[in-house]
Amino acid sequence: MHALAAAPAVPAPLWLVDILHPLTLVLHFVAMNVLVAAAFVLATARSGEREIQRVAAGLLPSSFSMTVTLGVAPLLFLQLIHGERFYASSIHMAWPWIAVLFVLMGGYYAAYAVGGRLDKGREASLALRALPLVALLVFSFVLTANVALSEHPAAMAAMGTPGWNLGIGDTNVILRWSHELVGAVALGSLVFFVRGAFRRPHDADMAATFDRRGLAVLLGATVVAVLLGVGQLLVRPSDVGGARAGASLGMGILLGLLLPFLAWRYVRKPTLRSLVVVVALGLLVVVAKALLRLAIRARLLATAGVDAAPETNVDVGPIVLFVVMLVVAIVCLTWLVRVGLRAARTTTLSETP
Amino acid sequence: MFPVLSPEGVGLPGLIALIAVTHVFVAHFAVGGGMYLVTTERWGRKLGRPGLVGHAERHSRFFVLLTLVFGALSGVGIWFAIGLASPDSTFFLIRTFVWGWATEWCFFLIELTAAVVYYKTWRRIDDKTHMAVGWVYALASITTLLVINGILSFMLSPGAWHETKSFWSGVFNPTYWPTTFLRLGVCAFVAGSFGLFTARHVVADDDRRLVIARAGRWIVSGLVVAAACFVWTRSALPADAAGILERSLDGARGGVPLLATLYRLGGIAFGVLFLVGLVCAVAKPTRLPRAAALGLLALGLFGFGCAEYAREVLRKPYSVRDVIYANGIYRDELEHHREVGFLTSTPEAHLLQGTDDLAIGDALYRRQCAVCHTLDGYRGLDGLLEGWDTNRVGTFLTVMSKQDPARAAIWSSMPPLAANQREVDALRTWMLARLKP
Ligand code: HEC
Repeated sequence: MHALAAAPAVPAPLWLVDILHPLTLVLHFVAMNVLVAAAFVLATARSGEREIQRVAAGLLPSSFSMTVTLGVAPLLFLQLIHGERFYASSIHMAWPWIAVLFVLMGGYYAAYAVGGRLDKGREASLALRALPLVALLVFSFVLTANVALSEHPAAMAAMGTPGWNLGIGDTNVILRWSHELVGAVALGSLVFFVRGAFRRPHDADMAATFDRRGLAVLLGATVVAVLLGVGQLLVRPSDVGGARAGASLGMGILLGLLLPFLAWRYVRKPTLRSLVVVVALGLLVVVAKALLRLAIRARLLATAGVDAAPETNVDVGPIVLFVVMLVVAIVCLTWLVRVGLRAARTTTLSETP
Repeated sequence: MFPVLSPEGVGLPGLIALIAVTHVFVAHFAVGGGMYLVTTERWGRKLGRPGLVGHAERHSRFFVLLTLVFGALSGVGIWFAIGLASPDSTFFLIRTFVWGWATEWCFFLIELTAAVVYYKTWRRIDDKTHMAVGWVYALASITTLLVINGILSFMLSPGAWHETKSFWSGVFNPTYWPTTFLRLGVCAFVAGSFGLFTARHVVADDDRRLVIARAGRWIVSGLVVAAACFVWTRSALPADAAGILERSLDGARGGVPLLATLYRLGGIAFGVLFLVGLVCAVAKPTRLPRAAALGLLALGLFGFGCAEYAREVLRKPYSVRDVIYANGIYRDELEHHREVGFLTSTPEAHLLQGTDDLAIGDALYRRQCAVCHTLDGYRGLDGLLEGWDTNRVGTFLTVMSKQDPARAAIWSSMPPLAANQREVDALRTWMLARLKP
């Protein structure tokens, strides 16, 4: 058959994409973990726990926007390399895929509404408080299903009329989704330690409350995540075969199990140094998760006999443009974050009686 | 080959339009609004009027909610939607401009962070730093427009890219500068309209007067810039698109009547907006009824919808002019499809072994027509075919399958049929079966 010109070649060396994709995926995961943990804590806080609710609700809007925006880059690289399969899987589940955006929007506005009520000294109903978490559950499931389907070309080929298939194409997806989500709650719970540290100078009791909540969520979620992870391994050990997947899995497990222990030590004796260690360790676990995720994709596609490496035709100019703009962005972001932190510190100080 | 969707009702065009028009409106607001906010803050401080600074603060709350939530999510939405409706074109644009998109992403990040910091640090940091954050926001969001418009205008007029295949000639294409300034003008008038909307919350009468007059000036000057750049854009359009526009406005054969309608409706909307803006700027009323402010926003959105729609129509039958047709077929491959058949390279190839012409016709409809048509919903074929007979269908298919309608004076907004004789015959059977007796 005459070879039809498919999409143009990738205008970059693949090694560069192999660096940028996991890097941006890690950033997206960090924001996403904070988001999911905050939504979880908001939904599970007891009524009367105003301060906990306030902190959780306060974290939601910016972590939400950050998760979405930081997600753009990994989604871009996913489409760059895997467009053939990703567009196809999105089309197969088109209507759920479009609908989840509206679900997300609803969850986001619910978070705002909760914050607004708290500001007026009232408390939101449990249903409203749970809405952001529910929206995230729905969204992440459809996203996981879509990405998983794109990794199973044979399942796609067997599908009927596109549009309504929420066909997962892989029984392991449910376990993978729930494992990732619960893991995100565990890792994101570290943000409560950070909030506690900001509070400590002028309200040690409240800081201790935040710490205890963070630790409880971390411990509980880690136990569940471990169980789900073991289940996943039992169902389909082959997913994590291969050196890359094996190594990142091992790293994730080791550090993931070390984390609750160090966190427990931090809560008993909170010092800035041990907080930095805990957060850094959490970050490493996120790195392991991102690497594992990409390794699983590579493995699934290789098993399916897909040659996923596209042709390249390197064009240096635009890459230089991007790198320069990335540096500009990093400089601007650093400055903005410092301004924001300085303001946060002075405000909390001026709020103390 | 990607699977294809062919929803009834509003169809794929309706779906895209719904998400796209609102998103693009909000996106222009985000760009213009950034400038509006920080210049309002500066203005208020310079005049020593806390009421004006308060207006900027209030406006920023509304602004963050609208642009960060709705803007970011609908932006992702539009990306999802075009991936569903036009996967080939989307894939082409992602690959060709991946570093443009990645650069855009850098500025999204700055924009988002600056907006949050700006909004959260009112009265918590010194005025100078706060305004500096505002400027960072404004400049970052203008840059996002500079980048994205390189890709949008490329789709309309790839220009020298055809020869060079270079990123830079793609971005700096013939309509890049005129449409960039056109969009900046649009940003200003959209920001002015939103300024009128939130002006109600300014407490003191004389402050409110100032805000309304200034918002009016933004509307008027934005529209003047946009109108001038529109003329400039017209002169920079590729010859065939310019021809279609001219013929459409003259009501001549080969024009698209819809284009003329959009043109007039948009003109009226912007005209009214201009007048109201002028009244606000000159007469400086102390208040504007809420309904009027809302009406103006709606009018702006409507005119905007007309303009974006007209741009889409002008680009037809391509999604990237002279490269990819709206239905995802590369122009370079047209001849190949006409020789060996189109469905041979799709999952429906097996149909060609059988004799079910209706099924073959249906597959062709889904793959080549459904991106613009439905059966009996938006731009429904059943309706369009009303009154047609065997002869007319025959002529239609001959024109569509033998030549390049983009170069013909009739049916010029449709991509040529990419099909061999067997497939054309099957499509004829399918179309005839749809004719009402
Ligand atoms: C790029 C979008 C696009 C595609 C793809 C497309 N059309 Fe059209 N078609 C149009 C537009 C726009 C009109 C004008 C509609 C109107 O006047 O409302 C039109 C009109 C028609 C008409 C009526 C023509 C007349 O003279 O009244 C027919 C029949 C038709 N299309 C059939 C098809 C068929 C069959 C296909 C697929 C092979 C197809 N179209 C693909 C955009 C498209």
